[in-house]
Amino acid sequence: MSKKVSIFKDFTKGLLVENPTLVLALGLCPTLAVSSSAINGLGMGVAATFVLVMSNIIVSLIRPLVPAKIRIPIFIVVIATFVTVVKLVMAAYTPALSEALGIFIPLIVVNCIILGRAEAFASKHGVLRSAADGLGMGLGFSLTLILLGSFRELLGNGSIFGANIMGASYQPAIMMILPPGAFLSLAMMVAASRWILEKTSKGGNS
Amino acid sequence: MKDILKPGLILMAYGIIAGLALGLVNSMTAPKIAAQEEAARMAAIEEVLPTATVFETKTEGDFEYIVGYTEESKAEIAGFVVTALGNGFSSTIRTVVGVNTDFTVAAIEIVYQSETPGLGTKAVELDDPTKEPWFERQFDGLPPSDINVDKDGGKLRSITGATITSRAIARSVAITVEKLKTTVGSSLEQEPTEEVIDSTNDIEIVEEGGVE
Amino acid sequence: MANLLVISIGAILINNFILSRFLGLCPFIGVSKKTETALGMGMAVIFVMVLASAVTWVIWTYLLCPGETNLFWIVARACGSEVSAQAFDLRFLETIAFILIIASLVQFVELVLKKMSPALYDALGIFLPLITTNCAILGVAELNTMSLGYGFLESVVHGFSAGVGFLLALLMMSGVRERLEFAPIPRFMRGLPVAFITSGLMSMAFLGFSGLKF
Repeated sequence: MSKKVSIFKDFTKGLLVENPTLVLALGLCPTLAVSSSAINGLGMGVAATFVLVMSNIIVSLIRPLVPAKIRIPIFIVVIATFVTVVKLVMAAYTPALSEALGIFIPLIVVNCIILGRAEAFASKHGVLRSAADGLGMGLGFSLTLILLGSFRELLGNGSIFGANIMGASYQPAIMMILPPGAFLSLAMMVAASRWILEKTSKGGNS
Repeated sequence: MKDILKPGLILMAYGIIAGLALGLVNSMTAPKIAAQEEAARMAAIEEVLPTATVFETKTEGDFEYIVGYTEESKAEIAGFVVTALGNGFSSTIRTVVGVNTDFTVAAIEIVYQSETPGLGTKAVELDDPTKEPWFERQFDGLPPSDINVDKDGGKLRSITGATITSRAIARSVAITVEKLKTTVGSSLEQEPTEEVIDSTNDIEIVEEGGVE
Repeated sequence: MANLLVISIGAILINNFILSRFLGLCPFIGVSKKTETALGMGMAVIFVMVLASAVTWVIWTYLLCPGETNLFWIVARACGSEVSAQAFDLRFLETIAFILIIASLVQFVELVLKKMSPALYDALGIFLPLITTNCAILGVAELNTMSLGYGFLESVVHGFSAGVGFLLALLMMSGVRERLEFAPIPRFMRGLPVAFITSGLMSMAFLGFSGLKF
């Protein structure tokens, strides 16, 4: 019973309380760069979640075979392998998305969320909990990306997931899909998530 | 020495395993990727030169171009298709250009780019059904001398925040069409006459056969 | 020569790695609280970026890319085998190769600095381990080879300029943040959000450079 609870907790903490982007400020480069539309955000989210879950599982499995001294390079090899798999599969089956995300797919390797979780969680815990942790963190990251992408696409293009929402008369604020819009939107989202966290955990220590 | 050697060997072992696994994945996806690229290329070629039904690739030195004919017999040339390569903001942009016989642009289609998502990628809004691909459409009917962004005195409105991308596409298209003009221009004038001679020869042979 | 100048100005101002390409944001937000640390980090990044640009270009051209320059092919030819030049296409190993090169390069630089110049090591040493996971370094390597197809000299110049652009943005940011310490800011906006707003305004200013004509 207690084990089930802890796996559930490992999963949910990544969604908001320890959201990798909004709270821990990790993985900022892809967050800002690919969130110009909701679909790009979703694509990056799925790719990063896959790498996160797989690398967490493998790192947790090979724990006994990794000398402490060279654990970081080995984790990097594991992560880079899965990133390349994602890159090849995306190029083969979703070429449009693969082009839209460009160099940010190979750059998942240096996304601090993934190496961070491998080092801080997967190298110390069992396979099941590591997988749950990876999935939670990945979903938290994806959710942030989709939200940010939808927000920027709505204001900057008048649409969400390519479907026109604002109507033909809407003059899109192109600034929102330009780099400055990324910074400003993320600033608002971080502030909003802090406000929500404080409201929900009133009385608790935040 | 042993301190360095052992971790090094372990790391190498991991590297080899990873490399082999990736080789396996690559051998499965590589044909698929190549097929995707070829299909996209063919679709783009048909898109930019809709009047042509038969295509033939020709090379002149290291310059490669495709001649499109209106019908199977290859009697009448509908136009040409060339690929323009331009150095953009973060990628080499590949544009397929359909060219009319008077060397104006029939239509262009950007087939590969990985520019900043949301900026340079605005050049390719074909995938988005709600948007007219206005940037690509601007090229239609222009002679190479007019293909330039407005900031450089041309007729094209560049993409907001992506001047480099716009300029790269415009310049590469203009240069490639110019090059096509100089390579094909002279042979185009000769080609029809050659074909006329050929066909008359054919007819003569048939006629001779008929007489005998 | 003119081309190199365009690459250089482009990487510093127009396509600033941080403010318009979104590469290297973690150190940008992380170590921009003080001008002194920003300077150290920026210098270390320039140093590693130039080295990484050079080494990854060589590996890419002579080991991974298929064609006449591929060393495996040259060796196979020397051994009398008649394989085609396209046979040794190892480009799919690029990500894993580049990140390992960068990681070992950082280790190597750390060792050399420790031995040769303890003063420089004291100044830059603590930033070096952070650089391996700085996506600007892997980013510049990927851009040089995969996306832009630069030659050797162009790659090195691009790497150096990208580093200078990184340093420039980092210095400006740290200058602003030192003053922000004393500004009255709404509670939820303190720290991270206000840093993002500052970067947003800087990025807006840098958008102006995209009007530069060459």
